[in-house]
Parts: sequence; C-alpha cells; structure tokens
Amino acid sequence: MRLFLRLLVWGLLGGSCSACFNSDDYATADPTIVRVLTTTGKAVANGDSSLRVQARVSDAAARNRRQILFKTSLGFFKANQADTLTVDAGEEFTAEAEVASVRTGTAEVTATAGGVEAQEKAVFTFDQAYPTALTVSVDSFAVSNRFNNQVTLTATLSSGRRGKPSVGHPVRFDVLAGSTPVGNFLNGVATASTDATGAAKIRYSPGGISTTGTLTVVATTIPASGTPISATTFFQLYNR
Amino acid sequence: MWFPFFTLWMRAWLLGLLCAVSFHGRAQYFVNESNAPCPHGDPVKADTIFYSPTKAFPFDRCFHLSYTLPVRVKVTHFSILPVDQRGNPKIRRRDRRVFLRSGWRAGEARRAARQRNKFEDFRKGLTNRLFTRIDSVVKAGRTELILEVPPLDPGREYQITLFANDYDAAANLLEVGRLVFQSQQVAPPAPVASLRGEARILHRHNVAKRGRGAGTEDFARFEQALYATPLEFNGPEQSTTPYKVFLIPESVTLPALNQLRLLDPPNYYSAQFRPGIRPREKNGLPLRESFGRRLLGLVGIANTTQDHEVPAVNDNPAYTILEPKPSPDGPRQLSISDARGQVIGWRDTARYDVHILGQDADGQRLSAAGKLLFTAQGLRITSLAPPDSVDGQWLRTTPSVIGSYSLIEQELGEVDKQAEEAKKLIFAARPLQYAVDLAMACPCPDKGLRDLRAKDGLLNALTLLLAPNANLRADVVRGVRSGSDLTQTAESANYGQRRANVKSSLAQLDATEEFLRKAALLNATRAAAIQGLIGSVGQYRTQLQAAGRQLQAILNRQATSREFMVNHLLLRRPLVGTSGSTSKLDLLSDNKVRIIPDLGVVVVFNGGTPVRAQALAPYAGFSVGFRALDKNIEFRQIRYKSWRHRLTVSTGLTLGSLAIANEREELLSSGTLLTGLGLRLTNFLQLTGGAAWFKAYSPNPLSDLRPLRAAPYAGAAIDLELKDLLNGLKSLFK
Repeated sequence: MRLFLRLLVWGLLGGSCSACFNSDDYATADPTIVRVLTTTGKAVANGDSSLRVQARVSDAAARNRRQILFKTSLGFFKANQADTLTVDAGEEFTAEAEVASVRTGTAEVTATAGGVEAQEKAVFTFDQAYPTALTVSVDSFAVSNRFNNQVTLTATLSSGRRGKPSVGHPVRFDVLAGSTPVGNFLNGVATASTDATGAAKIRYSPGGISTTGTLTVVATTIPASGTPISATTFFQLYNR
Repeated sequence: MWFPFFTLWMRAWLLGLLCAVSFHGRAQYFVNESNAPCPHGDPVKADTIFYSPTKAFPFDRCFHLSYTLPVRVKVTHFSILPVDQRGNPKIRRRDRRVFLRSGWRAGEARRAARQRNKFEDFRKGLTNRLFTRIDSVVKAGRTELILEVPPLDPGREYQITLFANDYDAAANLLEVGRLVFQSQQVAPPAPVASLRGEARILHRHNVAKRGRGAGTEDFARFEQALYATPLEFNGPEQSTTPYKVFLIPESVTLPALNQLRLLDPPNYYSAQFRPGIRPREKNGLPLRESFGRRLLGLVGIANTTQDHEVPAVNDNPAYTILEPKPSPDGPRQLSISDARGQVIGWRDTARYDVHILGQDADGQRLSAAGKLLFTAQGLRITSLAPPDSVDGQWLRTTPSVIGSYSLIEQELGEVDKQAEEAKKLIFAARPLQYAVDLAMACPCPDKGLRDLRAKDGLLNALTLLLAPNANLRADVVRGVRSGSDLTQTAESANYGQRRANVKSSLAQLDATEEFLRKAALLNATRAAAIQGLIGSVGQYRTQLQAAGRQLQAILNRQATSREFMVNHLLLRRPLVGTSGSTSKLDLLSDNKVRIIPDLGVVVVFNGGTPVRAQALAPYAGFSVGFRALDKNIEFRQIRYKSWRHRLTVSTGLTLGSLAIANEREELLSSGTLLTGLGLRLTNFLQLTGGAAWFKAYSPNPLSDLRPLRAAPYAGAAIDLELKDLLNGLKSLFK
C-alpha cells in the first residue's frame, strides 16, 4: 500500500526517468544540436577574399535531416553570392561555407538546423580594400551640346587580380576640352563612389558648350599608396 | 487475553492427547472489524450453513463451525493445520500471521506473542497453533461443539484436530477418527497399490458412515474386524479375578510379583512417556479399561515407573487398552489392538514376552505364555512360543485382516523370488530339440502320446523350455502365463487365475517329464543328455510347485479375509459404495488467480513542472488479482488482508486518443496502452496507476527516432464481473 502510494506520487510529480514522457522536453529545443565551430576571422572587403565558416550538427541527426542553413549579416557566400546558404552536413555531420564581402565592417554568420539556431556565431571583420587599377568609359560616342543631353561616365575600379575596392571608394571625374574643364555634372558634383561591382557612375551634361570637337574624360582616384591614379577616355561634341 | 500461554509441559501434554476428529456440522458466519481477533459471537444469530460434502466453506472471514460428536467429551482446544494433497503439513507465514491476529489485538501483547512464537516454532509445534475458542456442550451421549474458526485461505486444505486435556476425553476423541478438508480441485488419491488399500477404502467408508450419524458401535466393530489380532493362550486356572496379560519388552526385567500385586488396584502398566510428559495418575481403574496406557513402551509399574524406565521402542501415541477375554472353551483370546479397535503402530520390529497374571488355587501367579514378535509396523504379529511349551503354556496368534493382507504381500514376494530363480535354470538345447523332433512325429502311444491335444500340450511345454527368453518361464512360475497358452496373460491381482495357470503348467510339465523319461529309455545314446534335461525340468517343476503353494495360500488368505469382512461388515452393515473418501470437503472451488474485466477513467500526466495532466480518458481492460475474493462480504470486512487481497495487475486501452502533435503518438492504433497496478478499495472498485505507453517523437528535431515512452497515469476502475453484468441485464427485462 505504502509502496503503491509512493509510486503514484512519484509518477504524479514526474519523477526523473529516462523512459518517461515529459512535455518540457519539447518546449525548447536543445540549442546544441548545431554548433558553429569557427569563431572569428579577418579579410579585406574586396569581394574576392573570403573567410571559411564551419558548423556541426549533433550525431543523432538523421541522414536526411543534416542540412545547415548559414546566414551572414554582411557580404555574401561565395557559393551562391547570397547572404544565406544551405549545406548538407554529410557523413561527418559537418558543413562549411565561404563568406566574402565588398563592404567593410563586421559580418555575423549564424548556422541553423532543424529550426534551431546555433548559440555560437562566427564574427568576421572585413577591412577596406583599395583600388589598384582604374578604367573609365562613356555610354555614347558623340552627343550634341543641347542642354537636355547627358552622358553617363563610368569609372571601373579593381583591386588586385579579381577583387574590387570596397564599396564607396571616391572617384573624381573631369571633362576637358583641351585642358579646360567644360560642361556640368549632375548637381554640380564631380565625384562618385564605387558600388559593389567596383564601378562609380556619374551623369554629365555638355549643354551650352560652344566648342565642339573632342572632349576628354579623366577619372581620378586615390589608391592605398596615396598617389592618385587616373584614367581617360573621350567622346565627340557637336552643335545641333 | 483469551488465548492462554502454554508452558512447555502443557504443550507436550496436549500433544500427547492429540486426536483428530471427523465431523459433520454446520458453519455459521459473521463478520466484524477486519483486523481484530474473531469475536465471541452468538452463533445462533448468525446464518447457518449446513455441511455437505460438496458445499464450500467460507474463507477470509471468521465463522462458527458447529457439529456434534457422537461421544461425550470435553474438548478444550483445536488446531487447524493446512495440509497438502498428501496430507502433509504445509504451513505458510500467513498462517502464523492469521494465528497471531486471531489471538491478540494489535499491541504489546501481540508483539510479545510474535516474539515468543517464531515461525519455525509455529511450523514445527502443533501446540504452538492451538486455538482455544471452542464451546463444548455435552448432551446425553453426544457433544455439541462450536469452533470459532479463524479466516481460512481459499484453495487450501485444512485438517482440524481436537484436543482434550485428560485421558478419558482423549480416548473418546480417538473414537471419532479424522477429518481432512480438501478442495475439489485436489486430485483424488492415487490408486492404492497394495492389497491393503481394499481395507483402507472400507475403513474410510466406515469413517464417513460414522460421521453421518452411525453409532460408534459399528465403527469399533469395523476397526476390530480389520485390525484385531486374536491371541490364544492357556494360563493359570482362573478363579475369582480375570486374567491380566502383560506384554513386557524382552529387554525389561520382569517385575516381581509383589510389585504387580501393588497394582491391584490400580492394576495396569503405565507407559514411558516422552520427556516432559508426566503420566496422569488415576486410581481405581477397573481392569477392563486399563490394562495398559499409551504403548509408547511398556516400562515398570505405575507409581514406580521411574525405577523401570527403558528406552522407548515405540513412539506412536496411540492410546492402548488390552482386554483379555476368557473363553469358556479353554483358549483365552486377546485382541492386540487399542481400545477403539485401531491398530497399534509399531515403529520397528519389537519382541515382547507375554505374561499372564491369574488366580489359581495357590493364589496369584504370573506365568510366561510365550513371546510375540511384532513386525510390519504391528500389522503382523507372530507367536514365537512353541505350540506346546515345556510347562504346558502355549500361545497362538491369528493374523488380523490387515495383517493377512500384509502377509499376502510377503507371499507374493516369495512367488516373485521363485520366478527369479527360474530364470537362472538352463535347459540343454540338444536333447530338447531331439524331444521336439520326437514329439512332432507323434501321436506315438509308446511314448504316452495318444491324441493330438496331448501332442500340442507337449509341444507347448517343450517350446517353453526351449525358449531363449527366460522371462516367459518366470511368468509361468508367477502364474501370469500358462504353459498351455503363452500368449494369454492373467492379471497380477487375479490369484485364482494365476493359481490355475500354475496348476495347468505343472500338469504339462509332468507329462513332459514322463515323455522325456520314455524318450531316454528308447534312445540309449542320448539317455545321459536327456536325464540331465529331466533334472532341470524337475527343478523347474519344484519351483512351480512352490509358487503354486504360495498362490494357494494367498487365495486362502484372501478368501478368509474377504469372508471375514463380508460377514462382519458388509452383510450386516451394507456400505454405500463410492469412489474415494466421502470425508472430503470442498473448501473452495476457485482459482488462485482471477482475471477481472474492468472499466475506468484515467488521468495521464505529461510530466514537466508544474505537472500537466491531460483530460480524463476512459479505458477498458482487465486486471489480474492474486487471490480469490468472496464478493458476498464487503471488502473492508475481509479478515487480515494482505497485499494479495489488494494488489492487482491491470492493463487496458484508452477509448480515445491521447496523442500530441510532434510530441507523441499512440502505440496502438486503437488507443493508448495502459499497464499498471491496481489497489483494491472495495469488491468492485480499485485505484489504478501505472504507465501509459506512447511512441514519442524525439525532442531532437534532427532525429527521426520514435522512442517508447511512458507517462504515469492514475485512475479508478470498476470490476465488470460478467456474471453480475449479465444478471443485471437480465433483471432489466424482468
């Protein structure tokens, strides 16, 4: 009798037992079922240099439930050029991905499996990438000097062999008739910043210029050394 | 405290007065507080159940058992001994628990009694199991008894024994035999192998008959007829006093005559009692009642017992009175049996000198009549005195019926011995073959074979001798087979047929021997070999003759015994023929384990903190109880309940689903499986608790395992006794 009551109370109070059902087990999932193995890293934000992040799922993961979703707060995964990437952990229960960025700053990379996000995050730092080469181009061969005409001047910067400078690197444009600056830039600003592709674009209007003939476009930027580098191109101006 | 404490000698005293009684009676039930001793109640107010051989006695409750003894006796105690199918004690710890609870209320007294009466002592000592709650009312020649019987267990057998605390009462109790309660589940006793079983069955019938109200005279006559051994002797000429016959162990010095005279009166031999038991002195006993006391071993003389003690030769506690019966024809007869005609049980072979104390012209004289040899536990008593002794004394005994059966067994052993000897005989093959060839050429009147029938018989006999299987020849000696037809066998208990077979075989063997003699005369060259064969045949014939004589003796003895029993018992008091003993009583016809369908509701707890309970879920299942319950009485009134009364093992299926999405699903498609224990509260209601079994999802979302998980549940269930249900449904339509 006493034993029976004791067992009953034990059962009612949810006595610890490995084979007993407990709803609390399902309230919060175990965050350790996926873990990020990489903690920190540093690279230049040139879109080419990358950092590798590794994550591991628990050994209890079924074969068809080993997908890990990586997500980065800055940059992109080189595998798909997106900020999220799903990787199968495979037989070793481990998955990895490469993160690159053209923006400077700190990237936090998370891993999620089975709806559970790993407690740990990988924190990567991307430093400024400076241009090492510059090209400039226009989008027309010839334009009239009407006021409503405009051309887009594009300076394309590169950093190293395949990289690009970090986003926002300034490029100054000058349009010269001989050696005299002519024409107007949009809003009177002759400087543009590079975008994620390494290109800096600016709109230029040759309206009201009396001189016709060849106009020279000069794009100038400052590399890591501090010595400006520039590139030129030209287009034809004619009267209407 | 109503149960007295017995000192050691008092226990032994009562043990010595152990008597088992056979009774019929009526049981009266009452119930009260379940853990208190059985109360003294007024049995008249209680319901009465009349005893019949097939009526079950109650269990788990106190009841009064009332019956009438056909003798006047003051019974002071009784014991209830659980026995197994063979009648051997089978005492469990619960019996001691019931005994203690029946005798003492909870508290210091019971604890002290428990300490005093350990289980081993309880198990071994009969006097440690005595109940005193018995009312004994002597009326006319009968005694009405009311036993307050403590709760009995179902499915067991009990032997109730009555005790009295004086010799006369014990002697009276001996008269009424023994009763063993047995359940009908018990298999009937194995067929009695020995011939004495026939007498035992008759004995049982007689006990049952006496239990049904027949007079004790019949019983005593029956016992006397079975066991009494007539003893004939010629003693001194009787004058004024009857003979007194003394059986004195050989090892005991014969008391002086003046010492014997001191006994007149009192005039009896006392017995040597076991240590701790002192004979109760009794003066002025008439001779016819008190030749001997308790033949534990005859020693010394009453009042001077201590001077003549010798080691006991018999520890059978039978109460014994030997009564000399002078016969007007000359020989005096004495029945060597106890006062109630029961056989005296002797443990070992014992040898006694018989002395006759008689009165003649010269006064009292003690003369030796001879020696008696008790064997086969007293069933066989042999006189060792020569028919005519030197001083003219002689002693003669005739076996009792039971003794005759015992002798029959011995004689059968002799027959078997002859048969075994026959196996060793070797018959020369060549002269035998020659004889066979010779016989084949017959009929040949010159060799004594005139007809074909005689030729067949001769060939049969020769074939038997020629047979390589010696067992055939042994069977012929036993009479199981006949030499004239070896293919037929007689039943071993059919002594008449066996004797006829032996006789037939002997006749054939005679003819064969004659044939061989003539053959030897006709063929001088083979005469020597044939003479050797004739010698072997002669030996075989001698063995056959010896076996035939034994079988004839058996037949005679059996016929005498049967005639005696028929004349003395069956013809005068016809017995009802039944198989087995009618003294069997159906105490219970119930199973040890009960399977009870039940219906209930459970609450399943899902664990966690705080505890989360799911809604009530009905379930249907069954529970297994470890003990029979009498549902005619309320559960709370069942006496001395143990865990077997309360505990059940239950199982069932919920009638709805208790699955939780992404957490668990049903183990079986039809419902949640429940297994657990039940705690019986009433005859029909029990609390249940245990485990509900699920196929759980793994808390790890990456795992696809479905582990088996249990969730505790608690609930209540009611028994669905199908019989009651059906009765209930039936009543709806009435």
